[in-house]
Amino acid sequence: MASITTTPFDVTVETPGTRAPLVTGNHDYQSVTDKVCHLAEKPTHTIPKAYWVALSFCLLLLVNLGICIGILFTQGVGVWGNMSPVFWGWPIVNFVFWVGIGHAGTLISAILFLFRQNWRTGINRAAEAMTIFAVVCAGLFPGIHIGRIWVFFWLFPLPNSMLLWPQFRSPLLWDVFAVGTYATVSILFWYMGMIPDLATFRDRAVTPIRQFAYGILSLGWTGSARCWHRYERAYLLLAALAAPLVLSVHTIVSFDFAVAQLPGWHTSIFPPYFVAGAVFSGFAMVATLLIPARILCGLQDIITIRHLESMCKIMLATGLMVGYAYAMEFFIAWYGGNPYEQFAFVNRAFGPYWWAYWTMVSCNVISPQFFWIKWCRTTPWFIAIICIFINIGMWFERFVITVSSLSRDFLPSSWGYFKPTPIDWLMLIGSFGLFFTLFLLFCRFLPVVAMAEVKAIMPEPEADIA
Amino acid sequence: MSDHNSHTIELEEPGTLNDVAGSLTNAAMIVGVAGLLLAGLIAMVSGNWTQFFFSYLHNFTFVLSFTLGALFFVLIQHLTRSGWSVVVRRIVELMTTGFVPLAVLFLPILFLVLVGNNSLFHWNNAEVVEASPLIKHKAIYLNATWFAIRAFVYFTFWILCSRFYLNVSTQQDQSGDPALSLRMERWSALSIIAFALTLTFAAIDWIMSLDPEWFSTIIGVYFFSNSVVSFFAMLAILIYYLNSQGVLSKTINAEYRHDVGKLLFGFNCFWAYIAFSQYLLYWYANIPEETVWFARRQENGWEVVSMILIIGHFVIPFLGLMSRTVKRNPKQLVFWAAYLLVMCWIDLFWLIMPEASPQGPSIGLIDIGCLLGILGLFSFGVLKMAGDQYLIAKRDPRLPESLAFHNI
Amino acid sequence: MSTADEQSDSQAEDCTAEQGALAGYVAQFPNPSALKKAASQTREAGFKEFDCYVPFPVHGIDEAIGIKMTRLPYIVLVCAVIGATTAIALQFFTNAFDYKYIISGKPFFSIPANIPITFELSVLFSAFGALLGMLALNKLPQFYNRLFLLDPFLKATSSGFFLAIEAKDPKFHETDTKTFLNSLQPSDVVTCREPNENVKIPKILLPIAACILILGLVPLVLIAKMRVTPQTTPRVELVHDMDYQPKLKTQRFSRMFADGRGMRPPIPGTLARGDLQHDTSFYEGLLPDQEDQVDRNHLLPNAKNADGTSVSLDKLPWVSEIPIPVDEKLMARGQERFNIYCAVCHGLSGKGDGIITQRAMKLQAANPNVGTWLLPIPLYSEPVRKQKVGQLFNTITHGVRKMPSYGAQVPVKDRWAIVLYLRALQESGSGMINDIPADIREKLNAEPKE
Repeated sequence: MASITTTPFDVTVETPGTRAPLVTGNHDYQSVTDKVCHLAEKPTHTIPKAYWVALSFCLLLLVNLGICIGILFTQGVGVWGNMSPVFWGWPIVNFVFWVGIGHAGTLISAILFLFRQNWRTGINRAAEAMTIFAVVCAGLFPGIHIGRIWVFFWLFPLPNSMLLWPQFRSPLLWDVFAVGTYATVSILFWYMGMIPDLATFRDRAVTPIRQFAYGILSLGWTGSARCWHRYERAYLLLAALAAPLVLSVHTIVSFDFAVAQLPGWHTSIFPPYFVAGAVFSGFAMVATLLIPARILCGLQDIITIRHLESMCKIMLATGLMVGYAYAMEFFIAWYGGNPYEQFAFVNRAFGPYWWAYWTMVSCNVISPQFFWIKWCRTTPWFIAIICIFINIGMWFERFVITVSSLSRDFLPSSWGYFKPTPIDWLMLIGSFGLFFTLFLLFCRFLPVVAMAEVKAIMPEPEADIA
Repeated sequence: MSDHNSHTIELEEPGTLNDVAGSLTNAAMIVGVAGLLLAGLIAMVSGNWTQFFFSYLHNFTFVLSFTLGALFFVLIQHLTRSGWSVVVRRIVELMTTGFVPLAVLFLPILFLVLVGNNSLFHWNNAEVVEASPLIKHKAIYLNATWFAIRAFVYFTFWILCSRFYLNVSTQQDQSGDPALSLRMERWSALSIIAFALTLTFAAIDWIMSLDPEWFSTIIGVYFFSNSVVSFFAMLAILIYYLNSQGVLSKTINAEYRHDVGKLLFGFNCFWAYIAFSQYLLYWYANIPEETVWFARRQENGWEVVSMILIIGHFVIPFLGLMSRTVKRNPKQLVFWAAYLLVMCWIDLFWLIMPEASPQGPSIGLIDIGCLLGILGLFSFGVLKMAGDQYLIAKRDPRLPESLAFHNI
Repeated sequence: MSTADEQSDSQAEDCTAEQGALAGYVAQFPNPSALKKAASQTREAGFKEFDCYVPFPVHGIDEAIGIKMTRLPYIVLVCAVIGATTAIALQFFTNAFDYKYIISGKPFFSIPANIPITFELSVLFSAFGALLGMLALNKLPQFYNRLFLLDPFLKATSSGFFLAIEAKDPKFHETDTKTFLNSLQPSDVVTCREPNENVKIPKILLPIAACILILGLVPLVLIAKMRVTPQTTPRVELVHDMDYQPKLKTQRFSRMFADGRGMRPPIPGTLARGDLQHDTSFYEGLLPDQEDQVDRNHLLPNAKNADGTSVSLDKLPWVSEIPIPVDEKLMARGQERFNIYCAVCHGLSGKGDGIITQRAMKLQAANPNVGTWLLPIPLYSEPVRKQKVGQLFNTITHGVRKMPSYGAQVPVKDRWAIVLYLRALQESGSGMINDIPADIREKLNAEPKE
């Protein structure tokens, strides 16, 4: 196999008319495969130390989460800071935050696919994995928030001895269906995308356990062109289905708030605004995680600076959309002339939670503005810093929406101030442990890059044609 | 997905806009003037000037909507360094020259506001303002002077922006300089921000403020979705027209129809999503000051128009445009495009007209006259201003990529 | 596993080795373009049963092989329709048919509110349709494939491009086809053979599977049995729900206080708000200037003196006037309260013939040994008439003999109202015919007697 020779040059510069290569380095189909399989095929004792350190740290956080949940189950939800009037405090903030994070993956795999953004191939697998892990973290919070966790199945329309049915006119039930569907479809999409790559793992496996495990998971995929034909069609269909699904999930999450009459919640821009925010935070998380992961897995040639730059541009665009929504909310709050609504917004900016509001604005609206500058978009450590700010900002956005509106509703006598307890904090930190642990395991055991898709966008080695 | 075998396609010679449609210039002007005269005459005879003003505004926003959609398309193609769209981009750029005739066509509305007539905009009357604390509250925004300044800003930006893109693009026809593409790309980001803001506030000024007490944060996005749908419908119709004239019929082939069809389908779903989101939130919270706007559209025959929008604007075209075959077939695609264009017109009708006649919808010769009038004068303006422009960006560096483009 | 490896090794080295029937030939090509060219030549040569194996979807290979557009979209469409129908039906049945209730004034069957779930289920069903439909059309999962035995073929999922012609193709010929494949300029051609021994499932697996199945049923059977067997022991509470709450309940022990009581007595010398009842004539019916001589325990029914004799209630310093203004309204209130609280035993006229009394007497008459019901004395009888209003009030408050206390049910003012009405009853119950005004008396006389 000969290889394509690409002279090293800045892939982030593109002369109109020639597309910069998406895979750098002198790679052919085989070397890309080797590169991607590298971490997953390494014998345990040769795994880099950094991996073990990261994994142990994340496991520690995970154990902390487990202990917190144990305390919650035995003591009840009183261990949280949720208290009148803010009954929807920390857990819902975390839920919305994590669901938002979970939007980037399917957006990359579905919507960017439909828009033929080929650069997505380098990052879509890892982003989809993150989607699923983020949805797991998200599902955890309403799950443990329902109080009597052992009857969680009452959320589903199952016949029961009390002859009761769930209330389908409630946005909270829509949430159950939306998040459930989203998790399921994301897993299907992710798994389907992985079948050919799992077959690659199977065919390269040397130990019987790996042969057996990947053999089962890859379902006997041979790479037959007839199978590929149906596979591509199915992928396209799933993408077409997942694209509106991505929009619908955060839309329905926004309905949780927006169908209410509470000032600051009931505003018609919430659905698209939540979706933009979700994509914004999702991309920030993907970038935060991929910047170290591409080094850990040695994937700098496949997840190039150009990929990071494209992500930065999307973050800039969605960040501006979020800024637009903030501005519209304020403008219409004034324009509508409703004193409660006006108070809610003034209260956000200058009330007791002013610090949360201004953290949100500076992290979400101001910090992505750095991405106008090319250096900022192409310097990984700088991107990582901004992305962490964006993640913090997006968490605060949900905090501001949930807590500032609830703590100051129509009735001044019921006003209060929400304070998180240490358990609240530990659970939030613990959910990161769960997320990162799953991601690290994914890096070790599954194909982190969609090899088949990357190969499909690589130029064919011309030298071999003769 | 992989372009392993790039086909070489001969670039057809499309000629200029005048070569194709130059003969229509005078006809467009005659139709335009006649349409407006007819509508004005009926209004004068029947004394129903309010109906005329509202019809005029309705058809003005309709033509404006797809022109704005066109500007958005140009900007987003540059912003995303899009390759596939190069063959159709010039047609769209030519559409955006329509901002100039639109600015002229806006003058009567502006005049009406400046002389203090409040048959269109209720807020344009001191007594009305005094009577309602809500309107009084927003009088510093909704007043004639500020309204005029805003309109001036919108049109200035739209005209300058569209001229810039057309000029640079035609410059490239001469030089083929890739740096020009980069220049357009560089300005597209800022332009699209300005575009979003101008479109939003134009929608607030010209549509939402017709009921000055009502408000919705999503109105800008709603008008945007409508604009993009009507634009893609218009684009599909234009492609069909050009192809039927034998222009670019090999270049703009099934692959492009497929893409335009997909975008039409996709944005129509987006429209439905935005419309549904707005409706659901107001329906569910059931706050009188917000539902009054929808209530007006659910009684006295307006409920029929609402149902037409739900079924006709979303359900039917959703099923109709779903198939790949339909999108690739010229006749079927143009049918659905024309159908959706009518639906977009009805959508604006539904947005605007209930404020004029809450007692029930009626479409008469005034509406037809205004539609023909504004569309005719718009086309006249476009043909006059862009008549000598070439119909394809023939030396765009991404043209070969566009020509070789294939759907999977 | 090892035999398979050896087989494929030997096959790779020597394709002519005799192992099972000929299954086809597999040719390897160096790159996608060469494979595409070869595929279209193969199709033109008239072969039907052939396929290409590639590590990624190669653009244009569908046309080269001549693959028809898949039916998958229709499967997905059907799934979407089923999903939407299921969602609508589910929401209609549960909220608008089987268990109707109003939420925030919305109709039982609220179409706008049903759209989100309808959308979600349509997508869910169609996503399953797309994945499972794709697998089914591709005849996957299929864990065994004889191609896997060919060593070079393992590259098909990373960097190899293969074309395989099956022996079952009508045009297949053992040598001609091989020559044909070689003419396509492949980098390699290998022979694929059916595995020469039929690997059977070991016989021992069957009984093992059966055992596992049966053992797996045991817990289910046990659970089913437990569910239908009555138990005398308390149920095992895995989850307490809210049965045991760490809160203080009335009359319960608590470790928190030195005296071990959960309920707290009021601090000596204090009163709760509204409990200050210093107007004894109103609250107790006792004369304020003498009330301090009264032992309050004596007010209770069946009270005894220190020497064991019954307390004589008549001697206590009762008020003789109702301590609140008396008017017609108070009388009406008293009548109403009396009819509610007192008449059930004492009868509407105070005669002692309330429905409870009637029933009790009837039951006692049937079973003389059972029951201790005492006939209430008529309220207009002499002893009662002689009692001061204060004492009557006290009787209602605390009860007397068998009569229970009504202090808890009847507020103070209402008790006085009842006392007032009682006086009226006594007046009517002991009155003479001459007490009735003359004109009414005539009217009564005029009425026919029964």
